[in-house]
Amino acid sequence: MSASKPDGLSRRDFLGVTGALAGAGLLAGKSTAGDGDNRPAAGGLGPDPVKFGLRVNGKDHEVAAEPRATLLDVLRDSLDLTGAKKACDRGECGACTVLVDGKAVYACMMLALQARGREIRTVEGLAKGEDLHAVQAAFIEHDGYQCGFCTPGQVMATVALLEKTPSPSGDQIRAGLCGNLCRCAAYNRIFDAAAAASKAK
Amino acid sequence: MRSAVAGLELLEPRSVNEALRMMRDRGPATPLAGATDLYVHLNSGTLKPRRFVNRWALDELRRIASKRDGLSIGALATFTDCLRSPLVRRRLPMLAAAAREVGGVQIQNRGTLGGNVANASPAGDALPVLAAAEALVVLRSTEGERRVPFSAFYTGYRSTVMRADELIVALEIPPVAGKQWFRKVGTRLAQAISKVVIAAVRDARPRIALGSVGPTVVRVPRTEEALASGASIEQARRILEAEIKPIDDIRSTAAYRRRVAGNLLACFWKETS
Amino acid sequence: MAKRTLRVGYPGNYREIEVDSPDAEPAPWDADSKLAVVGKRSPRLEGADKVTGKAKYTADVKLQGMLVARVLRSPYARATARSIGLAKALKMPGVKAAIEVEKEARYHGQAIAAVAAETEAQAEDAVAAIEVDWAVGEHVVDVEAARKPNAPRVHGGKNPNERGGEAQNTATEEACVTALKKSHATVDITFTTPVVTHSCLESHGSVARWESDGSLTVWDSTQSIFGVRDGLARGFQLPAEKVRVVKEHMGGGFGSKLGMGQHSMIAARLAREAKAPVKLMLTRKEEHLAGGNRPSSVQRVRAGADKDGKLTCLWLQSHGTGGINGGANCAGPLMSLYNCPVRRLWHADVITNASPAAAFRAPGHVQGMFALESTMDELAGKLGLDPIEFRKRNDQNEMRQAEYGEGAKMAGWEARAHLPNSGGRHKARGLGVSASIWGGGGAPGAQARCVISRDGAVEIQCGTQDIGTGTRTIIAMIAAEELGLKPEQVLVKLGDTTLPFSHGSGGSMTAPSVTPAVRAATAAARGRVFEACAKSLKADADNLTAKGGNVVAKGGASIPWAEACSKIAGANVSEQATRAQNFRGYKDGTAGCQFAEVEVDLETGHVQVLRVVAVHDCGRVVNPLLAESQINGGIIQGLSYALLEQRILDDATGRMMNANFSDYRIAGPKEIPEISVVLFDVSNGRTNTGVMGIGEPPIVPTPAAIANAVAHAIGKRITDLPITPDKILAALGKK
Repeated sequence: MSASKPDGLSRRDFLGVTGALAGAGLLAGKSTAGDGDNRPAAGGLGPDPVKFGLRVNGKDHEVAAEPRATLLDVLRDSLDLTGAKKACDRGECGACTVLVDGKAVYACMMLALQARGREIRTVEGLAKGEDLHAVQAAFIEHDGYQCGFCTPGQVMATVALLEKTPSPSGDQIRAGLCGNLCRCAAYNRIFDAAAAASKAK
Repeated sequence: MRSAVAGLELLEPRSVNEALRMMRDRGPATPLAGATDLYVHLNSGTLKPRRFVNRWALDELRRIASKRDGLSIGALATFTDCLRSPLVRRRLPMLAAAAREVGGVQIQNRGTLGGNVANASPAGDALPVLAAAEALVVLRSTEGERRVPFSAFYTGYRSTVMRADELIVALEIPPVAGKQWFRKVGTRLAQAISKVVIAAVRDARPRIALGSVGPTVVRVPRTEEALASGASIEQARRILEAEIKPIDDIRSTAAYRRRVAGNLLACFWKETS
Repeated sequence: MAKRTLRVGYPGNYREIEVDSPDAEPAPWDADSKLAVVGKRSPRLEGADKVTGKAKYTADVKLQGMLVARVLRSPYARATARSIGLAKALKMPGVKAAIEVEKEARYHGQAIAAVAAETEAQAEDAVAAIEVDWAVGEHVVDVEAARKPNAPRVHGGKNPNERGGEAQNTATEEACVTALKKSHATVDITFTTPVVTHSCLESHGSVARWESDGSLTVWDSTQSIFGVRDGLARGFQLPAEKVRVVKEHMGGGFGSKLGMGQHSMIAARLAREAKAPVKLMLTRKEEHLAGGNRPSSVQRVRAGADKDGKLTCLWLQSHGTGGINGGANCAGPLMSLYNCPVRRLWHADVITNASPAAAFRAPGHVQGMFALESTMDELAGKLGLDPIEFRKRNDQNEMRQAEYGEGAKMAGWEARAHLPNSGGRHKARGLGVSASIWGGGGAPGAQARCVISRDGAVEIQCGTQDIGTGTRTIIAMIAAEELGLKPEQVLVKLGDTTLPFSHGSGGSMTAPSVTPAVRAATAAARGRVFEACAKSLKADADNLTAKGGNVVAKGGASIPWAEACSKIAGANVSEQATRAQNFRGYKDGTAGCQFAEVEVDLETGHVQVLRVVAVHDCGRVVNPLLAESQINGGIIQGLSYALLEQRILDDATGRMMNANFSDYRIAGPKEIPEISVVLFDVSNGRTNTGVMGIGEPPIVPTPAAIANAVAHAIGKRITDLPITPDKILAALGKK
């Protein structure tokens, strides 16, 4: 298909500035909200690199990064944790999935600074030495991958699912993994692996 | 990491009030929470702001509470919070249904109800729910708080009545009587942008709201009136198809949206009878 | 050459044939071979690396002092850069090199210039600072518009945009007209298919490092390490030995990574300029814009059949666009699948201002099979014949005939008229079928080396690549079979051009090309071990076998493998073998068929594929677990093509409007059907392993099977892919 009108690219597709900015300009005035504290606001972070701590796989790390750095970039570039992958870089494919406070998130659309003080888990932290996590073992046994590029994200999404829902139904598995794409299309086997891992415990 | 954010500055308030002062004193500054919409703009290079207020950590805005017989949902409540909340599931099941249809789990874990409202996309999955439930948008600035009826919140495509120094702090939902109904028809079964999304309440005064069929989320008063006054569903359907103004875009066609909106209206009416 | 008698065919239909096989090679496996390792379900050897994040892809390579590159791409579909100003970019923080790539832009997304900087962010910032003075030209992206005489000429001058147009078969137009006129039933349908992008999750990318001796090392996300090597050697006028290409793991290869990509040259040029290693990974947007695609097609098919259900004529007039390249021909299935006395196939490539096409899993066949098998169902309907019966009457391939039987049973074809329906009058179910056809017999020339050390360690060295198909694992299985060991006892080295040559991994060629070389090399090395240990077993080397981890003499005496190897004089034995020509064998192609069951939501037009039954043959199956994964993947990519995917270009600007994964949709978890795979066991006697490829065959029939199922469900045929809900409702609206 090719759109024929010059405006075939609809107004809804090329997105403007968010609604939050669309209102009127800045208004000065007194605070009447809350604590009565009306001190001017403190300065911000950036754009130059800032130092901050991140807790990843149970270990504390000090990193220096620009505030614009995503959690994914800091994990991959600063901490050399390259398990989480950058495949779409805008929260559409799930290859960068990590757990933050036990919840699956796209590391590519979270600022690293937003992960301060939180418990970050990546695929590198799952196995205990040579002992693979049940989900990892199930992926191997059921061939839950082909090229393997999306696999760290699939594994982490499955771990998050099973921690919340230890015995998921088939539909719950699909819903739990629906934020993760696999172009080789190992989906059926990924579902099998998730189901097997849920029984393995 | 995109060139579009070169020079990104992040303001780090420790409280809502500090955030409001920052927006007043250091504005314009864009509130940033789950970043699930903002990052799409960043990636496509269409985001102009450089200064952001990180409010992800302001847990005080994450509460979901009973408010008389209705609900008050903090702006930072994520879709996961919404769909797991017993209160939401009991009092506003159509919101839980909508939350389940947002993106994938990762988006549900980070996307917030307030962000969905502020992003002002006509395709926002939760917006028809808030419109049908006749929610109030609670806006706060250093000046104080105001409540804007949802029907008056959007002024056009991606524009709202919100001022640059205001934050959405909560959505207040009055008690919803009658059966609630929600359906999203997306471009794919998950991780999809809606082609038509509808939320509706079956009551003596039926309330029906649709997304992706106009420049903003819309209520359809003529259709609602027709149903309230006993018109047949076929009549109501014709009125609806005339009342909405969908367009052709890369996700679907106007004709499809119109027809599916009518079909969904009929489904709603049948399934809630 | 040795004459050997082999039993070939499939269960219930075997015959003996005589083949000539090289003397040095072990006797080819045939239907009577009893194998211990090959044929078993065996998990991938690199599994632990993949599930722990240890597996390093090109995207993960990090070298000392490595820079990151970004490319400036044309925002216009046709424009000339009068000048490209790099000075400002070169002054940006962290920037170490900037180069011009191309001044003539013929599609949106064409590489124009590139920079390398210390960080990705710096490189992005610097790209934004490159100053280009553009002279914007006239473009054409719509395929019909490009055919018009007054259309802008994509390659300039007098070159017409439409190329080809020769009829590919001998029947004259008159013969076709006559045959159609005499036919009992005829159809005349035009089918259209979109351009789709490969969308590998790991984008195209390279890391390039110049060594102190002037040689070049490149890590590349490629399906063809030797192809990249040769391309770079040509590009830099180096002897091939001066270029080394490495690929340990790669994140998805469906054809677009078969040759050297432009990114590899850019990375190496920047690395030379900056005197530092450079990594260049394309972004998702670039991948959609310039990473290759499957060409579109418009296929008008006229076909006829006689009263007995025999085809009388197949006539095809097709055109399609592969952007600035050709490659849109899709006549393969019409040419080869069915018997037909009168056949005339005509095709023209239409050049447009769009990114160049690349091979994409069964090039041409996916498009062509959709048209052909949709046509077959329409003809069957007109003849009042069951679609399978009609196919069988025109198909001389006995494997496929048998496969239809197996598949029909599993798919419940008999009950096709009475499918259950979960949604009352709001849903409709349908069951459709399609044939598959592909080659996959492999090619001579692939090499492998087997090194067996005194401590019993076994290493197979082969310059092939595992692109996610499981090549590494099946190589180990072949060697383990020959040596009586377990696959995990074999270390496989691949993905490096310092290893013995192998072809690119395309055309379903890898397994059939590589396994015979591996087997021959391993057998030869094993012979050396036998010679070394024969004395200890008081036996003749010819009377030894390797099984169960031992070397066993005919009389029963045996010693463990490691002990046998300890008799090797020197550090190891090493034998190399080259894959021979195919023997005449049984069949030179693969057949196969698929059945799809769908449910159509009549209110939203949504098509849910509930189940696919896939029957495929690929000669000897080395590892059913992996073969099934290939089939699952092909089916789902086929489903995605049938229902979801299409590149959308804006006519006015020539730009791609859905260069992301939200608006370019590939199938996700909720689209996935239940899949039942039958691996149809064939002994083909074409090589010493009898293995054939299975990468491509499973995508060939899926779109057609789904389209036929949809037509069965709703009583209307959608002839335009993808079958989106709006087309379903529009078809239903036309009562």
